Amino acid sequence: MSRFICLVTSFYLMPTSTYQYDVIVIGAGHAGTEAASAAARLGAKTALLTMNCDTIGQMSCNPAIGGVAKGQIVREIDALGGLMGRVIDETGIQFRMLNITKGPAMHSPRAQADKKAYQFLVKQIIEEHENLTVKQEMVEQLLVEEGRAVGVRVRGDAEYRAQAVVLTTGTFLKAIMHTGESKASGGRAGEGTTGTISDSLHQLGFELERFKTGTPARLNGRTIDFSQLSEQPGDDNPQPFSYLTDKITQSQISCWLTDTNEKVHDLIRENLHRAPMYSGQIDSRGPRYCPSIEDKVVRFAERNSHHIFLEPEGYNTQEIYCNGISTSLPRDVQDAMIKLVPGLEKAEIMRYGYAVEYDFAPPTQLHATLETKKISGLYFAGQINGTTGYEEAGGQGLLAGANAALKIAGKEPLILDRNDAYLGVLIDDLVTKGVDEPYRMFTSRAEYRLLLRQDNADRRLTPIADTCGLISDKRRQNLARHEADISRATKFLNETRHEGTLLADWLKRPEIDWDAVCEFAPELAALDISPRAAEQTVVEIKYAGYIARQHTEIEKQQKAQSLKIPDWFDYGQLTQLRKEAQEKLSRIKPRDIAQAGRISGITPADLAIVTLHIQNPGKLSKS
Amino acid sequence: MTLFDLDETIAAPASPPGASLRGMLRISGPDVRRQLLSVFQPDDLDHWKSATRPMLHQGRISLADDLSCPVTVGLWPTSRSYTGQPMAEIYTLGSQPLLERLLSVLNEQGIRTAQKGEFTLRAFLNGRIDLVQAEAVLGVIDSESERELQTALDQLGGGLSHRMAEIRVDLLELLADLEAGLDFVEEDIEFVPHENVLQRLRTALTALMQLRELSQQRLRSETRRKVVLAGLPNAGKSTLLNRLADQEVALVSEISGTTRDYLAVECQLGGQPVLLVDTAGWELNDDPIMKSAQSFREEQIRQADLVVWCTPHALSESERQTDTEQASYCREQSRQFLHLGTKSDLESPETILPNVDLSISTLEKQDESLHRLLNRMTTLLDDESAEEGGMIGTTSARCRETIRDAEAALHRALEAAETSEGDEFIALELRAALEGLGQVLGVIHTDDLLDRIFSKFCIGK
Repeated sequence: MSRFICLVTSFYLMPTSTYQYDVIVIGAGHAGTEAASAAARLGAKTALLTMNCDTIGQMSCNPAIGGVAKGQIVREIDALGGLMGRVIDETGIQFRMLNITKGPAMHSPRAQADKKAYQFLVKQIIEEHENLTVKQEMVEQLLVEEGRAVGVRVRGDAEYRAQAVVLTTGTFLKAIMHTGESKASGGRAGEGTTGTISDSLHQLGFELERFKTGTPARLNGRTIDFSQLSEQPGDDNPQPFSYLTDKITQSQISCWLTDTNEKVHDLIRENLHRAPMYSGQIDSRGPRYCPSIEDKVVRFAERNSHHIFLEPEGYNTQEIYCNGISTSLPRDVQDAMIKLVPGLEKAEIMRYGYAVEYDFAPPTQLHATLETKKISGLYFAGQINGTTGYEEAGGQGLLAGANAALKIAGKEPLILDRNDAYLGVLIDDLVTKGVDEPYRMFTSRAEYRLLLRQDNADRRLTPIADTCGLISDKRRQNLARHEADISRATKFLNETRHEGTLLADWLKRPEIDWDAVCEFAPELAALDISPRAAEQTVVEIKYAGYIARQHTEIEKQQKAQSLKIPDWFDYGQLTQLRKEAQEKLSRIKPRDIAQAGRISGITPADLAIVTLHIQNPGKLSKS
Repeated sequence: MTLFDLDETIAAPASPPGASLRGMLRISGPDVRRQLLSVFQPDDLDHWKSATRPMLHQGRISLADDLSCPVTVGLWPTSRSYTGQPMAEIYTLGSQPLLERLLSVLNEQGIRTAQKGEFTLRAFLNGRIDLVQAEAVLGVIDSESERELQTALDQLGGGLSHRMAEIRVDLLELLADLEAGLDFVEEDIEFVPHENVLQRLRTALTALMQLRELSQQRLRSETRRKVVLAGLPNAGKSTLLNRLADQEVALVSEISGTTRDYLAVECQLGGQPVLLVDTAGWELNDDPIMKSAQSFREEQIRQADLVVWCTPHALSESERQTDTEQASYCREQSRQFLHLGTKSDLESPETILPNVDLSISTLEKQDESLHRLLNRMTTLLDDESAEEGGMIGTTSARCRETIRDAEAALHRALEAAETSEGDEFIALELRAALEGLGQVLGVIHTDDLLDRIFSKFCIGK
C-alpha cells in the first residue's frame, strides 16, 4: 500500500538523491554483467543495479556453460572481450568437447561449473571493473523524456540519470513460480519479482507476453547410491573456452547417469491433474526442447525410460542438479518419484523443481542494436527478449551494453551479421522473426555454420571488437601472433612438395593430418607453429571447398544487404504493396532488403517493389 | 534474393506464347557477348567480337551434338540497352518446343532463367526506365506469379507438384533426423544409421530423376492442340477420326484391332489447328508390338489437351467392366476428358449408356450428334487453354531448373554420405535441394524443421 502511494506521488516530488551516469544496466545476471562490462570497457561511466548483490552472475538453472551451438556462443563472447569464457575456464569442474567425432564446425565445448565459484568470480570481476559501479537497488520506474530513456527511479525515492538504460530483467518480470497446486510470486526460488518495471513498460506502450520455463529438483549427493549409476567423466585433455586461457589445470569431477522407468511414469500419469501445465494453472508456452518430465511422459508415451543426468554443483557442496526431469509436480509427487529411480532410492531433495511464468517483450520491438524502436536509448537484453540460456543472454548483454556506449559516444553501432557469428544469427532471428517459444540457439539455425566454428571465433570477431575498442592489448597481440602463424604455415604448405604433390594437397586426403605432413617435411615442425594455428590451418585446407561455397552464398546475400532501407521509410505509401506486407514491414522495420526477405510471408515481388522505392527516394518524398 | 544480383546473366522467352511467326529469347548480363559464344556460332565471328553498336548477327545455335538451328541474334554490346547492361535477343521460328530447347541450352551454360519482372527491375535499377513504368510491370507480378506457378505445375503434369511435395517432405524428414543428431548429441535419442541415410538419399534421388524425365516429356508442348481418341478395340475410334477429319485417313474395318499404330491427322476444330490422334485398341496382351503401341499411347494420353474415350453401346458384361475401368484410369491421366458413346444406331438406339457425356451415331456424316460433339470438344479445349493462362516458357523452365539443381545437390549429398563425410555436409546439400523445392512450392523449411525435430525426438536434457 505504501509503495503504491509512493509510486503515484513520486511523479511530483523531487527525488532525495540523484546520481549521474552514462549507462545504467538493470539486472546483474549473465546479460547484465556482460552489458555493464562492455559499456564500461568502451569508457562509459556505468552503473549496474541489482536487487541483490549476493546473486550477481548467479546460475539460476543448470550448473553448466556451453553445449552444442551454445559453446560456440561462449567462444564468441570471449572473442568480443566478454567475461563468460574466462570465468568458466577458472571455475569449471568438468570439461567436455561435444560432437568430437564430427567435423570441426560441430565441435562444441561444454563445462560443468562450480556454481558458487562461478558466481563469485563474476561478482569479483564486476567489483574490480574500471568505470563500473555496482549498486543494490530495486528499480521501480523507467524515466523517459520526449521519447528518450533518461534514467530510472528506484525504491527509496532516488533517481539514476543516464543517456542509456539497458534492461536485463531475466525471468523476474511479473514472475510466478508453480510447484503443484501452490503458487508464489518470484523469478527464482527464494527471491522476489520486479513487478513494477513490467507496469512501467506497459505504460510506455511496449507489448508484453508470457512464457514459462522450469527447473528440476536438486538432490543431496550424500544420499545418492553412486555405485548403481554410470559415470560420465570429463575429457582427458580439457579445452578452454577463452582464447586467453592456455590450459585448464584444475582437477575434474564426474557427472552421473541414471534413468526413469515405468513406475516413475505411472506415478506421473496418476498425478498429471496436479501438474500446473495440465491442470490449466499455467497456459503460457514453454520451450519444446526442454520439456518437463510430465511433458515427456505424455508426448512420448511409447518410451519407458528417460535419462537423468546428475550434475554436481561444485567442489564444496553435496548439491546435485537432476538434468532431464524438470518438473512442476507437487512436492509429495517429486519426493515419491525420485525414490523410484535406481540409485536415488534414498535420495533427499534439497530444492524442489518448479515452473516459472514471466513477462517478456516480443523482440520484434527492437532494432538490431537491441535498442527499442519505441524509446531511444533504451536497450533490452537476455530473457526479457524471449530467449533462454546463459550464453544467449550473455551475448545479447554484451552487444546491448556495447551499443549503448557506442551510441552515447556517437560511434557506429556494433551489429554482427548472420555470417559473422551465432550472435548475429540470434539477434537477427529475434528482431526479424520474433519468438513463439523461448529461443535457444541450435547450429541448424545458422545457414553458414561451417564458417561459425568454435575454433575461429577470435579470427571472426576479435578484429570487429577491436575497431570499436572492446578488447585488451593482450587479446589483439594474441590474435596477431595466431594469424601470423597461420599465414606462415599456409604459405609453407602451398609451396612445398612431397613426392611431387603439394603438402596442401596431401592434407586434403582424409587420412593425412598435421603430424603426417610434418613427417613429410620436418622443416614444417621447425617453423614452431602453435597447435591452435596448426589446427586452424588444417581445417581451412581440408574444408576449403565447402568454405568457399559458403562464401559465395554470403556474397550473393551481401548484394541485397547493401540495399539499405532508411529508418523513416513509409511503407504506407507503397500502394502496390500487399496489405500484409505493408503491415509486417512497417512493424519490423528491416534495415536492408536482405533482412526484409527473411521476414516470414514477404515475397520476392514485395522486395522488388520496396527496392524500386528505396532506389528512388527523391520521387518518394515528393509524393 | 538472386533477384538483386545484377551480375548474373538471365534469359527468358520474350515473344507471346503459342504459335506465332517469330520466337524471341531475351538475355541480359554484363558478360553476355562472351557467354553466348559457347552456344552461338556467328557467321562473322570478328564482327560479333568487335561490334560496338547494337546490331543483328546471323549464325547457328547448336541444340544438340549434331543438331543446330539458324538464328538471328541482336546484340547490344554496351549498357545502352533496355536493361542498361549488355543484352542479346535471339530471333528464331515461333515454335514453343524450340524456344524451350534453346532456353535449356542457355541454362546449361550457366545462364539462369529470369524471374518474373527481372528485366524490368534491371532496367529500373540501371536508370533506363522510371518508377511509374517499372511499377506498372512489377505491381502485377504477385497476383500473376502465383497463378502461373500453379499453371506451370499443372502443365508439368498430373500430380507433379504433389510428387514434388512428397519428395520435399521425405528430404525434410531426413534433414530433421540428421540435424537432431548434430544439435542434440547430448540427448537420449537414437540417431539414424548411416545405411538408412544412404538408402533414403538414393530413393529421393531416383524419385527426383523420374520427376525430371516426366517434366521434360510434358514440356515438349505443342503449340497445336492435341486431341487423342482412345477406347477398347473396335470402339469406333477410327470411324470417328475419319468423320472429324472429313477424310478417309484410317482404315476402317469391323475386325477388332485393325488400327495397330497410332494415326495422326491435322485438322481444324472450331477454327483452331488441332492434331487428332487415333490410338491402338486399349487391350493388353503379350504381343511385343502391341506392348510398344500401348506405352506410346499412354504417353499420347498424358500429353493430350483432350482425350475422347469411345465406348460402343454394344458390349458384353465383361467388356463393359473393362471399359469402365480403363475409362476412369484414362480420365485420371488426362487434362480434359470426354466420354463418348459410339455406334448408338447399330444396336438398340434407345439404350443410354451410363456415365457417357454424349452419344454419336455411325451412319450419316453430317448429323446433329456430330455437331454437338464438335461444340463440346471446342469448349473443352477452350477451357484447357484458359487454364494455361497463356503461360508457358518461363515459369515451367524455372521449375525444371529447380528440379535439376535439386538433383545435383542430392548427388553431392550422396557423394558426401558415401565417402563418410560428416552429417553436417550432407545437411548442407539437403538444405540446398530443399530451398529450391521450397521456393517452387512456396514453402520455407526452417520452421518446419524444428517442428519436425521436436515432435519426433524427446529432447530435453
